[in-house]
Amino acid sequence: MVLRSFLSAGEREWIEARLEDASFHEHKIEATGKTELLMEPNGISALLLFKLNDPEMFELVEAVTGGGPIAFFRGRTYRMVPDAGHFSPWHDDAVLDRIAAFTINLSPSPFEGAKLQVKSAADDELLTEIGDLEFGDAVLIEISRAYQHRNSPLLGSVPKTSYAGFFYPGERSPLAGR
Amino acid sequence: MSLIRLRADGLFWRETGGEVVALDADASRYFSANPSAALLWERLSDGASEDDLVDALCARYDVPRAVAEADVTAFLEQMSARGLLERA
Repeated sequence: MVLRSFLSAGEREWIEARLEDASFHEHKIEATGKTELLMEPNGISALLLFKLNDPEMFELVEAVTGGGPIAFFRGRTYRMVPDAGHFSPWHDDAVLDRIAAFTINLSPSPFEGAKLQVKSAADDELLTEIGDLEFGDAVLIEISRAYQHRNSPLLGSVPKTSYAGFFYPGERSPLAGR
Repeated sequence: MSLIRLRADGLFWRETGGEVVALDADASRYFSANPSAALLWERLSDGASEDDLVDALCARYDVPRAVAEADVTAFLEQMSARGLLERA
């Protein structure tokens, strides 16, 4: 499910201004083999954590996925750089009781490739491909052993920056209120 | 009379169940405000004088004006100390 302009114009402007000064370091997600640059925690991380740990957001995700109750969201901001060896293999994220995955495009400039692809785990049939995300658009992804997803190879010369994470059950985030 | 308002840049907030949850993103610091403070917070989002805030408290809660004035003063001092306010 694609949420266009999930970030408001004001939020995009605030984030873009701070992305230039953000620090990143090389990172590998051992569970999936994904390699990327991981952003050090900063105000952007705090804002996106605040936005995603919103009870109205929890209700939306519960309604769309049929899962829940959602208690909190945790995510990270990462960057993939062309020709830097960064890649995203097929994976399903179906661990740790995750209810749904969520990603926001934080790339102010359009990048080439790196389409979000979803396939059937049973027969590798490509089910959907999303390649037209603009800065601030978001995608909600169902988590299931039946599906796998990845980003296709990043092409061109423009890096791709994204925020990605998961909705979880458990102890409710204080950011979501009582 | 000068108006006081919430800082425009880098301050994000929402109302949840009568309370306000807020983020000072420049400082990566979160805040929550109970219902009476949330009332003041919402007034400050549009800009308000100290008298406006006292009036709002008195209208919502059955408190003597002197008590409301003291509460508003203390609230504004805390908000100012955290850099969350601007004066027009």
